[in-house]
Amino acid sequence: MGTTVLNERVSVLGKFEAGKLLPVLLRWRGRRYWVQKLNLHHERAEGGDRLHFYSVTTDAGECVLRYSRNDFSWTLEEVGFSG
Amino acid sequence: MKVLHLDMDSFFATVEQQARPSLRGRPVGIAPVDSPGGTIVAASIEAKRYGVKTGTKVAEARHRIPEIIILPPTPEKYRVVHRRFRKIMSDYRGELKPRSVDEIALWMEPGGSEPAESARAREIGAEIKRRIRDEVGEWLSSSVGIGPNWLLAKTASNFRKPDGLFEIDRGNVREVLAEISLTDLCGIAERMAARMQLVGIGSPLDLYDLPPWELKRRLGIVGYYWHLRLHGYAIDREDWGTKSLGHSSVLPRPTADPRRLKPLLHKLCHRVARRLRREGWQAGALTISGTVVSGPAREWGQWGATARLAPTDRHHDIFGQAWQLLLREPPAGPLRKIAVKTYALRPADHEQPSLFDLDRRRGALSTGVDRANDRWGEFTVIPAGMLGSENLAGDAIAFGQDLKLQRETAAD
Repeated sequence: MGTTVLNERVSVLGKFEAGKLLPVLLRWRGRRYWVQKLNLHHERAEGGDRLHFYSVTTDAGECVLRYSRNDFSWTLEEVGFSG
Repeated sequence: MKVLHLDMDSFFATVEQQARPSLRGRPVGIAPVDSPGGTIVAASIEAKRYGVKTGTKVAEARHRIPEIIILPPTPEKYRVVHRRFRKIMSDYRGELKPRSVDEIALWMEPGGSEPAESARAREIGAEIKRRIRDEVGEWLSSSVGIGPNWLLAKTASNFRKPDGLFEIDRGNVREVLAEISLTDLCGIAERMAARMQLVGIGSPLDLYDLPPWELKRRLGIVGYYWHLRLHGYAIDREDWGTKSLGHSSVLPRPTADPRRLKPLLHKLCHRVARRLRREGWQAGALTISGTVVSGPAREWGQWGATARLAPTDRHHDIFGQAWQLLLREPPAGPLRKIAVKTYALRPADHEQPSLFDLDRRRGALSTGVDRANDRWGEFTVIPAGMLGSENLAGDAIAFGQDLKLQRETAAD
């Protein structure tokens, strides 16, 4: 079992629910992955930016998505492989 | 009156397992440095079954459990989870007091008979545990202790871990105290236990059974206080005050060379000074200390030096004194860990205006640096001497009282 650090920009479809932004679907390297479960969400200030980290389970495994409130960008930080 | 003490089980490790389901059910250790000499600061419930616990060296943990997963701590996650379970607990009437990042006590509002208070506390305890799983994370287990005072509530929370809900009351207190050792009581460390044993007190039950006058004769006023605590009297509702403020860091490679220690010392002093200003304190004294590695067996020893300071919250003053101490009273061997701690804290608004223009200019410089770092991120503007310390002394979360969380609680 391990994780791979990627830090790759990705397209994410999100939804606002109860005042919170939640990722629903991500597109990475031409494939689509549905977010099945949000395991933990935390935030961190980085200078003037506020970074949101979503630890999620998709239909292909676990990953961490980062959202920057400064430039509205999504980054796939980490992909985990179970087994 | 009942006190309800909530203690999150194997907190840091469980939060990591919450974030990454593939870690669940596996032994996990949290260690700031993943090297054989690194120390586990938190172990998962699975790792604890094999004897890995807080303080175990990474090498020993790997020896006991070859497949253990070692992860670095991520303080932001722990603070987020703390805020969420604190919010849940704030829904219940009473006085809330976080005791650390993973522990919160609730002094419940008195009302009704003792059995009714007891039943209500158990009901609320079970509800809080369930809500943490439902609203924060399904993997987050906690143990709740209930007692007539904080000490007994805390003892109860440790008595049936993990996922416990236990009350200590008049009916079972002797039974519980018979099963634990002196050091299981919060506030009794090895030295105090040894002192108690010297005067014939070998167990918590001895402390409970001896009459107060006899305890006072053997241990002084401390003995009397222990009698009161174990008999359910509330004598520990102390304020949650800041007494000292410091930072420490483990060195990737032990060294005694002051030139190599200098950037890290700068960084620790910079962080301490910034926190002093943020919290509104000035420090009147300073200690630098560390763990020294020496001898062919690489034994560990302690080193430390102390000096007074003219009350200050500035990096220039704190580093200047720390650097002088390091040169004047150097450690006997290579340092593996170094810490800077300030104490004798007093509110900064008592500052006596300086007659010297240089002091005012340094004060303005600190304010300017703080504003730039608030706006653009920590360590955007740093003292030149700190260059080279980029990968050392990152964000860390205190086991005891995390100041970020302490500020938030005060503002609630």
